[in-house]
Amino acid sequence: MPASSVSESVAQSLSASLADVTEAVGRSVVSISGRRWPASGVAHAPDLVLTAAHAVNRLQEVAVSLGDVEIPAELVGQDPALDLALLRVRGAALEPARWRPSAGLRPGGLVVAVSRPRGSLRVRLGLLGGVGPAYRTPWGARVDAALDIEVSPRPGLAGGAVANVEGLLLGLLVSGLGRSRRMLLPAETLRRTAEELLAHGRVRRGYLGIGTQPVRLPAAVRSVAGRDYGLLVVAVEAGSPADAGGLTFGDVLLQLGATPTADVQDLLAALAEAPIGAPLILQVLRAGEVQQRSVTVGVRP
Amino acid sequence: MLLAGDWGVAGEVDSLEGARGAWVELPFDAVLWDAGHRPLLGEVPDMPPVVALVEDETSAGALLAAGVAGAVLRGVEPATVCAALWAVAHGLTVSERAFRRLRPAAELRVPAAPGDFTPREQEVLALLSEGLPNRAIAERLGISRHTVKFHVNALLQKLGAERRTEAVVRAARLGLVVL
Repeated sequence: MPASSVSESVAQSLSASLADVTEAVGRSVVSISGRRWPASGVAHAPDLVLTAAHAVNRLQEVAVSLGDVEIPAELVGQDPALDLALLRVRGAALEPARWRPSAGLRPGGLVVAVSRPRGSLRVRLGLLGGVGPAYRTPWGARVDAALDIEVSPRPGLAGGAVANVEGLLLGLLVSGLGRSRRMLLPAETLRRTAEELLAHGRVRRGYLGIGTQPVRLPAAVRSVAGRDYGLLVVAVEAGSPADAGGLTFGDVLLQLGATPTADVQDLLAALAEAPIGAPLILQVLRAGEVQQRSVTVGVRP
Repeated sequence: MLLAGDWGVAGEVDSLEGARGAWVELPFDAVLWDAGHRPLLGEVPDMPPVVALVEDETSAGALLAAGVAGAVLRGVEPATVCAALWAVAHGLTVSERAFRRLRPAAELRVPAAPGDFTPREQEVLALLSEGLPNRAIAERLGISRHTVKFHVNALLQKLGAERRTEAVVRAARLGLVVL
């Protein structure tokens, strides 16, 4: 019957394309060895590999492999807040992954999750289940898009690639939201973080040197402050940017740059974005008056 | 299934929705549900209370939050299952004593104060707030993973937190995390 031959050919061509995509993506997916649990990594440059930080933690010796040959790798740096690590494989000529930025992605497309646990190429088929706006991990790191991947988990997927059917990589699978909670880091986040790791060996986050507690402002100062909540400064590290900027115990931080600070998470988020070494205007409430102070953002130790 | 005492099995169905459907035809006092690995999608149907047989504490927490009246581990004695069914049929909520973190005591306890933490716990807290896993914290402080785990558990308990991220937020709100 014509109908069945048509569907057969569609199935065959789908099947063949998926195998082609897997093979193409697989050329950039390496195996990370040295740990009890198998993990994978993705070539970002001929001698650079991105992987999940939890896959290389504590390892004195990491090796990557595409097939049978293991090549020793060194840790360039890692960002535990994203669970992302960058490895350098000296002298390697890996095929860098082709990334697809998250901007303009639509949910519903087929994706493949390609990994190489313990050396053998593995693939899972799934859907791009949803595309959400940028968010922060609990540790304050910004992820440029919330890509929800409907793929059943399996060991060795950590550090694996998720690609569309054109063979372009949508992201890297890590567990930055806590143990065994997978998330996909989109291309923009990976590129930005890899640059930072190459330049500094870690992701530098802004630092003021204050410990704060969220407080509800007394009615009398709410109108002066223009808001209901602020962060009461309960500790100022000696010699810190905040110390140098004249902040003192008892000040109430109302705003950092353009960000109102009602809770410590606002502070964390504002500091993650703040350009290091640049002046930042703080609004503080002191003795019932709103004051402006300029502080040079430092690096979180 | 064998149940001791005055219990009788009203019927067996393959899902909670099935039980809801059966209830209309055939009244019963409680439902014993083998929750297994399957997540509960949505809320527990409106019917007599459900005791779930669970694999672990995490699923027990999720199911109790979703509205089951009891959660006991799979493989407990039939008498324990009966006790749980009896309790929920009388309007009580039951769970395993081993499910320490499900007890509401943490929320009723006086919140932690900044002075409650040892210097070592504060060091661990600072590294925890960077998102480091136990083994990396152990490496930085030059102590064993075991010791780190001990400190992290103490921090979770003192802060009344279930997860590390929650502990960090609570500690930060006490002014213990310098940003």
